[in-house]
Amino acid sequence: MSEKSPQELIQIDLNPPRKKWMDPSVDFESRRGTWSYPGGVKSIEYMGFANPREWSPTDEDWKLPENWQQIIHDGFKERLGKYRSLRVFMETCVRCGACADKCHFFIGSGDPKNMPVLRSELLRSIYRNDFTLAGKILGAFAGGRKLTLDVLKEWFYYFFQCTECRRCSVYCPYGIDTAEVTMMARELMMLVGVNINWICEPVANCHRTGNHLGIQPHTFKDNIEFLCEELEDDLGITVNPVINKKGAEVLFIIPSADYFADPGTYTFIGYLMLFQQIGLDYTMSAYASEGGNFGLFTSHDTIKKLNYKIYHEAKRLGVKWIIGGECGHMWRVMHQYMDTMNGPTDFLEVPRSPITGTVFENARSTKMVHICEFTADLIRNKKIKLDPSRNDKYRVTFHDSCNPSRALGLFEEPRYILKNVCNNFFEMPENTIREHTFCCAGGAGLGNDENMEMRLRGGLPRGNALKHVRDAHDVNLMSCICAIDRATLPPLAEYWAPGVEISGVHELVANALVMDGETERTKNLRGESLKAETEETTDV
Amino acid sequence: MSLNLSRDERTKMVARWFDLIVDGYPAETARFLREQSDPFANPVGAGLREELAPILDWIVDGGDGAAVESALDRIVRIRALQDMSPSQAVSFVLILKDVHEEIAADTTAGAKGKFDSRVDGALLIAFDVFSRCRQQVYDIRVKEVRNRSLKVMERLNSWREERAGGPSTT
Ligand code: SF4
Ligand code: SF4
Repeated sequence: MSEKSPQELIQIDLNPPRKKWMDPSVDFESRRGTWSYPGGVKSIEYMGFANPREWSPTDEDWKLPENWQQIIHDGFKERLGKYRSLRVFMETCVRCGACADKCHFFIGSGDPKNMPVLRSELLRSIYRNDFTLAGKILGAFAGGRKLTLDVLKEWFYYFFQCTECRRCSVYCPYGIDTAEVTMMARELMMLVGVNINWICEPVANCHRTGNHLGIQPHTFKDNIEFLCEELEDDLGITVNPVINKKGAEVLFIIPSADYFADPGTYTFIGYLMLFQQIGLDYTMSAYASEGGNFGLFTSHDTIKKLNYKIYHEAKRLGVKWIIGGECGHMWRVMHQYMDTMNGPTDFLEVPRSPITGTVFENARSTKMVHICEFTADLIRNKKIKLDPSRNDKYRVTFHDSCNPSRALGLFEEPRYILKNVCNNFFEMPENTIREHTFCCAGGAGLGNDENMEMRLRGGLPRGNALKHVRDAHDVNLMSCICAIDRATLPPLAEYWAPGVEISGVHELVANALVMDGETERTKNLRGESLKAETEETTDV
Repeated sequence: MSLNLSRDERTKMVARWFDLIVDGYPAETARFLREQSDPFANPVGAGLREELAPILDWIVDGGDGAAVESALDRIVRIRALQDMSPSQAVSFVLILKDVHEEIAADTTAGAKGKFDSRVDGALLIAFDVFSRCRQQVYDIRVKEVRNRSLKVMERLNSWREERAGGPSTT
């Protein structure tokens, strides 16, 4: 029998209150469900990453290289020289606390080390110790600490508990971006072979076949033809997907989850129906078959390597410009890295919609337009006919995916589209949308099933806002423009706001899209009746 | 038979109860839970703020079991995921006994016994809710693997078989 009094019983042993944040120690065994499995040997070897081996975070010995501290120290030094932003982020924080309560993982878990300021401090304390005079002399008194194995273990735990969503950076008066701090910490851990499989495997697959799932060109084609045949069988609508066509006007880049996993597949079919209807001269590439880039969660070199295929395929196929689908972090890469890493290109033209004549000035440099910009422009110019009543069974809200919103500033286009294709649209509370949006808690490589407990914890703030509109307005569908969201939000909704389904924006566009010569539509893309079941019975 | 607790006593009890629960968290977290009043910025604090009073009312006055279950669900659903043992997750109900002893004017053994046994009732409901939430987490995890891509793959494979007129080899 426990001798504890109820008041003692309730004390949470996260990080006992009297203990300072500087003392590291993570018990991985008792915290299963809140961390991800390490990178598999095959993927690590394939990519030539450091220290391939079998290991588990629960092991006492992580089988690190003998001089691992030196490797990290040198890597840190190199990056401080290379990235001025890192030095600024390490030096500038005044611990004002404005970011402290903005992280979904902190809000959901209550663990203070998930406060962005303390997350950065995990790295900053080593910076102080190794690279500042005060830290070298005064050590802990100046907020420095030595890089011990326990500290490294803590890095692994907490830097793979940051989805690099950048919500915290919105509130920092100095613009410190903890997501970038996490990226650097992950790069440093990569140098000694401390990484997770949900990132390493997609990276290796992507490097080999062009997409996260390792799908080869013939299977890519098969998959797409299969989805199109399903559409034909279900709704009697014929679309002709175009793959690897030389000389097409537009290259279309999508996240692989859109052609391989529900509910992304409906959005994928939505894109194709739209292109078919407007007669766009486009092609997909069976090699650049992935918009996502898990290099973003690995290292800058890997981002560059994986991103290169997009311009490469644009050149090989001889297209004029590029449209990108509803992918999340792909847009962060396109917007913030592609142009300087692999661009600017001299063989593409400034994007101009062949249907409306609109020139996309914002994409003058990258030559890549977001499909929501493209579609919103079609609607604004009345180039497509829409019947929003076909989405009447849905009461819709919109989740701003972290990257398109905070990295790209794409707030209005998806909303404009949704308001044109649905009759019932409701916003979640102001401080949970647009640049304040709450993460799905499964981005940046954390959307694996072994990490489900942490994902659901971090999903609380989004789920809570969703539940609010579900209860206040009977919202039953949350739309979003990110493939990772479409995979990670269904479990989140099931736990925190049951009864709400998840969709992409172009799934709803396609439901409403009136196509030439179509027969009367009675079903939506999911093969369900257009009317809510209760209505149906009263109608008959 | 109903218990006798004035509005004033109840208000004091809820405030004290809230404090004790919040102080179970690390100090930095406790400060946040207490001070951030926006329900969307602080869903954990908001859940406690809004649901503790109806739970106490149910314990004192009895009434609709479904309503108290949903109030408990809002709190337990969160605690079922946080870094706590099952006993910690539901122990917040139990500490109400101490709160009652500290604040209630009627300190007779009869009143105390009655109150405590009603708390035990709430604790049992909380434990049911906890088990349900944990089961849901496991179910979600299992289901996710299947939902993600297996469903499409199964459909795709049978389509391939049909096309090839026999079982697919890829
Ligand atoms: S980037 Fe997002 S996940 Fe990472 S610390 Fe900031 S708010 Fe938390
Ligand atoms: S808001 Fe900026 S300066 Fe303030 S604690 Fe957070 S990172 Fe430091």
